[in-house]
Amino acid sequence: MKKIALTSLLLMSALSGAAHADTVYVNGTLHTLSKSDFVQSGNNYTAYIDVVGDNGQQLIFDIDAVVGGNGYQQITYQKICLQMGRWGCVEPDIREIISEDFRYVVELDVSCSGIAIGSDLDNKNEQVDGRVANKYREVKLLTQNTLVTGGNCQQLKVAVNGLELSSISNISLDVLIAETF
Amino acid sequence: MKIINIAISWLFLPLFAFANGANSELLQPQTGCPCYLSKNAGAEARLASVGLTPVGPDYPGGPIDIIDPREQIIPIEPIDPCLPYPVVAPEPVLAAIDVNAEPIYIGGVMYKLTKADFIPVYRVDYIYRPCSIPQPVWVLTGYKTTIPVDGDYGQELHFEISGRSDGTEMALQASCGDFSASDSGSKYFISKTMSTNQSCQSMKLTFTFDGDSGLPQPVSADNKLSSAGPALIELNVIIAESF
Repeated sequence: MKKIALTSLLLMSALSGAAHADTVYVNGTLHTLSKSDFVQSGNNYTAYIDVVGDNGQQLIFDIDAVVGGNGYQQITYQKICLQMGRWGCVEPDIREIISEDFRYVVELDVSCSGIAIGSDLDNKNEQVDGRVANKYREVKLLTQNTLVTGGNCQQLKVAVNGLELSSISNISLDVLIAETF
Repeated sequence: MKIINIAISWLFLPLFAFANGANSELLQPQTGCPCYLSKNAGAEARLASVGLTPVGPDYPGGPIDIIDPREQIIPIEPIDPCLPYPVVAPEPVLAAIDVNAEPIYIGGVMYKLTKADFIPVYRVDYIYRPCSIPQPVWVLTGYKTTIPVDGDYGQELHFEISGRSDGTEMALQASCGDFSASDSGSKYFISKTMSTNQSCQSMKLTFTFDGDSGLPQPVSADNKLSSAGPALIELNVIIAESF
């Protein structure tokens, strides 16, 4: 049984060609992923982790992350005229319009071989007055589920999506798959 | 807001009690009632000075300097002539709580704790109102629980605690022997790998109210304890061995 799981796993990894962070064993040991374990696409980060030991038993998934990065504040520029002359504007200027909306929204989405495990969304949005000097924010994202995948959970996909922010600077993600009693 | 309303209504009670016997311009402070009432004929009685000392000058017992509101029981006789008061705050009677006594086994078993697994922690506080003995109230300050831990042989352990409370911001403190960690907010995430030198025998989890939102209101000490605080607490605790 174990051998079959292992060979199919090798096949999977050979076929998919995706970046593999590591292998997680279904026995309650923990895996910690950092930003460098993820593949970046814009502000979306994805990691694939092989799962060994799903024999159809009930599994507990606990995937938690702390995601830090810089929030987003829109600043637009508008051409204005300070003084109009006979032939048009004699004193043009540029006005800065700073949005009162500061946004930092991150989503964590976890699935295993196409089976949805869980997702979480959190934000550090703020109504602000003026330009935000320190844009660094952190959110905690927690997913947790207990389910039977029928032995089909072979590859865990963990996606950290920066929905409304300028950049993600650090990810600290714990993956734990355990068996129930 | 409610408390203020009640406090204001109390202010006017003694006025009726002293309205008849007063001749002087300024009423002398009454026993146990540190209020000075100025009385002008026809004019509205006015509260000139309000002291908040809970013990009057004719207190029959020995001298009491300061009453510590944090003390559980204050031995004050009902000395206010107009306001007989129960002053000894009874201990909060906690309903028998079925706290999860099952130990945490090290090795990747997840323990799911809910609000029912936590014991509410109360503090006895006093509402100070002019002209009356402080009223004892119970204030919910947080929750706590202790779970035995089995299997710490000195190996490297990974503590993974995650969960949330419904909208109420609290500070979570987790400790087990040498292990100690904390987190706060309405979402909690603790992840720490360490060896505790076999000192982790019981996991202590304590929540204390931290934020401004969703704080429980004080309940009168003679009321039954109502369920206050966050509607939901979910906490998952895993102690795993690391490779």
